[in-house]
Amino acid sequence: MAYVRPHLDIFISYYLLTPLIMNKSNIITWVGLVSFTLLTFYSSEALFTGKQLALVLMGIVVVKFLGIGYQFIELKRAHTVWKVLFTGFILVFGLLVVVFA
Amino acid sequence: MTETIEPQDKSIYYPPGGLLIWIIVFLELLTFGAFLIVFLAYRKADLETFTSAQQVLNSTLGMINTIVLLTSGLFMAAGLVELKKGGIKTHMYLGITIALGILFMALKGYEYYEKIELGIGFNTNQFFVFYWLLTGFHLIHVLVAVVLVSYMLYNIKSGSYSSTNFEDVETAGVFWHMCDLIWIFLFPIIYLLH
Repeated sequence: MAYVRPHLDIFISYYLLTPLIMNKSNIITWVGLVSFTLLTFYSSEALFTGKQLALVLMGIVVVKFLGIGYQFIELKRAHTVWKVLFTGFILVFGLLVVVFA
Repeated sequence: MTETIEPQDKSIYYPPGGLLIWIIVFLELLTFGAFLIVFLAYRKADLETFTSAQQVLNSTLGMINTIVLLTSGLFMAAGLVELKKGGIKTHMYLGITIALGILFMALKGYEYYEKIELGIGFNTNQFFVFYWLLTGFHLIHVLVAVVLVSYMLYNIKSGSYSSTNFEDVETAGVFWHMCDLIWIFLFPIIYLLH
């Protein structure tokens, strides 16, 4: 047992806890992305339909898209041109979806 | 936590992962985006068929798959941060990323199996033509991303990439996140919009 306990500690800390010890802003972004995913799902289930739903869904899509781009891909460190192109794409696309929905 | 800031970060010619991968990213986003706008135009013309066909889709499984993909993106980003600072957890993070990519494909496979069991094929109606094409192409992208990141992990283990030589891994990471980005707008439009 004296041999098992230290190994168990190492196992728990290395394999179970270390995944949680990573870039704090990445974790916050991930929590936000998952929360928005759940919000997307429940908005479509109960709250809205038609054009209203399209507006809510695409609003959330824009936020999630920018969250992944700026935080996970680290576009926040890129040249302004790339930020404008990236943000411009999702805004125009989101608008088109609302129009066509 | 200290993070490495590369000198070329603000260069217009060097976005994260390199210029070439961003040309690919924008081409992919524009292709899937245009395809989805066409989908919406067809949907508007035949709303009844599209709405009833959409009811067959398993949106709960779609939501779970979204969370799986977002979580894989978190581990991909964490793996790259670890590699850049010379940390020891890169292998574990990228391994989890690959595992989550495989889980996404397995769940998608189960979803396809459900449809095939119901006798739903490519020619069932216009909605399912778009469904199979869009989700199928996306699945192929995830498969390519899994192969790419697995190859990167193999090379990191063999010492080919390190904290001073990580550009290829960053490029593979951008490709992985591109799969997230496409799914982020594909899922609500096909599965949830009604």
